Amino acid sequence: MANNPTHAEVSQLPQPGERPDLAAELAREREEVGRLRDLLIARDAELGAARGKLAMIEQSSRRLGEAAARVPIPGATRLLQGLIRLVQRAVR
Amino acid sequence: MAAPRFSILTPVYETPADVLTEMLDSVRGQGFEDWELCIVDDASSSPQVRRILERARQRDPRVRLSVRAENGGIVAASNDALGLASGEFIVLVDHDDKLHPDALALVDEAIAANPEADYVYSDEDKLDEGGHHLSPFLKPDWSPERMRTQMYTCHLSVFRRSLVEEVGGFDADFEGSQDWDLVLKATERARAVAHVPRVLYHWRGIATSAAAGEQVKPWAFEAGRRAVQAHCERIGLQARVERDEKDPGIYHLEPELTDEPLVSIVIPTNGQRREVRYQEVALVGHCVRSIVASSSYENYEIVVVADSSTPPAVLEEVEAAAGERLRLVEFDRPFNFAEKINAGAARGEGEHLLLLNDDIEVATPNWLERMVMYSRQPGIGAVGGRLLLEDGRLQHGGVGFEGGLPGHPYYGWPGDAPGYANALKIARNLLAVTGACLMTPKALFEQVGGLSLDFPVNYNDVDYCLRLREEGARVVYDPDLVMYHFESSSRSSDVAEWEKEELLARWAAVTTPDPYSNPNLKEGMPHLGSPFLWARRRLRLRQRLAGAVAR
Repeated sequence: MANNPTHAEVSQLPQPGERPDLAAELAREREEVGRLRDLLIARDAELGAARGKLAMIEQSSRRLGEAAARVPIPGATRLLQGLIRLVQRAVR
Repeated sequence: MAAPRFSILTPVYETPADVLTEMLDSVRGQGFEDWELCIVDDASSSPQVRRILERARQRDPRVRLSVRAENGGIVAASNDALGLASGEFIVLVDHDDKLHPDALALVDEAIAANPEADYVYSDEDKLDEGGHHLSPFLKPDWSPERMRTQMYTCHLSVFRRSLVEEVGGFDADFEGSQDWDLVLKATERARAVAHVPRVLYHWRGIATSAAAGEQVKPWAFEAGRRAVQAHCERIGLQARVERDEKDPGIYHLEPELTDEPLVSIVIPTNGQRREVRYQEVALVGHCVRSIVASSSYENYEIVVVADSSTPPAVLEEVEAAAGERLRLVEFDRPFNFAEKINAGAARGEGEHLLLLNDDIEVATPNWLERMVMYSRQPGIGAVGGRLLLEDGRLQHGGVGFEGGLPGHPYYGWPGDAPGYANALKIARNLLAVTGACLMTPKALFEQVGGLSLDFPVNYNDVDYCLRLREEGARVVYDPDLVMYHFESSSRSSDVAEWEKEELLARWAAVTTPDPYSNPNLKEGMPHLGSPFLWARRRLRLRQRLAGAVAR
């Protein structure tokens, strides 16, 4: 949404016919301020997108860390495999 | 012979031999044995398919086989299979997929726990070409709003057979999405829907399966859109259904209101000023200007509840922006956010109330139409949307509960992030949405006594939504309603311990666990916690033992 000047700001602007050179200068400066503000807003949005991705990655890495901590102990797997081999031999 | 509990319906067509055998083995390997398998071969040309099916029938009397003389497509074959069924419930299993060995046992348990359940579904995952399990889809409990924007129940689906017959079985008008159409029709009439939060179905993503994406069966996604549109018309939801431009599996509801009931937008304020996008503004003035400038809805009033300390210049700004729409309510009592909202609501004359923080900026022109579309629907108590921080990151995509306390899953993620299983891109039900932007029918607001004054600062919105649920009303999150929220500009976001304790004392039984999350999700994402690992380990162990015995 466009940001309009407040009533107070509007009332402070020179009126047409009263210092036209100053009014034009002010208008130019206002335009420049607006342009720079738009650039800042766009940069904030880029920064926001990057910060958002970072938040996603951080959460994902935390989850992976938690999952890694739950990986079963290798010895237990070997024991289970041994049991399976015993079953296989028994069936044969 | 007595009718079995379950009739598994499986239309078969040109299925690769190994895949078909695995499907049959997964049915025969069910721990729960009271089933029949109703197979219809849709005129496969491969003699191998016929041989495998004949052998399965000879080996197990519970296998019933019918062979079509000519290919009729999935709907015709499914209806033929339904014709063979005699079970109390029908179970849909595709010819190339697999059931978890405990699938039928756990569904049976769910039905025993909820005898009125006419439809039961479970979580699912996918199988790749190598047979590896991928992409577990961990689902919420029954969420009618989600069902309109995503076919999320999908597999495993179990229906009471009498209900399926009542709605006319599979409808050829929705070939390719006939299952979605059936779920919609059945749940319009179902007494109860049950969810088993376990991965009971393994969906194979082979080249010819819809699981592989839109390019395989493009017509199926368009049929899905038509099925939801037909459903909206049946239930009187004033919406046009549109497909997502990027993701074929998700849909959007666009409001098509026949009229515009009066909406009262209630904005509490103390006239605070703050910098927004590098310009200092009075927040309430900025908010009201954005409503007036951006809203396409015509019939609304703005009720501003202003502390008596609000600077007159701010009120003049609001008056100038809102004009005739403004109703100004002066609030001169000690701070109580809930009381301020209630005071504004009492002054509002609208059929629907919209609770809005003064640090909100409208970013969706048809935001009010969207909210009214839902709010006027019977059974819906509150509607909220997707709120973004000033830099575009996500502030609110619905309230989720963990340990009984509310939070904002995906907070701080990119504003266009889809979330897990597209949770942020689809409409869905939740226990609560933020009161920063919440529409509710005024009659319901009055019926439950408005916001509770016991929560003067935090949780009054959550408590309100939970009371709506107690009244049988649902809370909806609409992802296409986007607003900016300059978050807690006017008050501290800290939550006091007593507020947490009070909320837990009132609602822990409802919010623990959050029915719209899943026991295997944490902060909105799959969490490899013990229940999930247990299921996978057990399955793998069974498969290895079965392999050992077979050898």
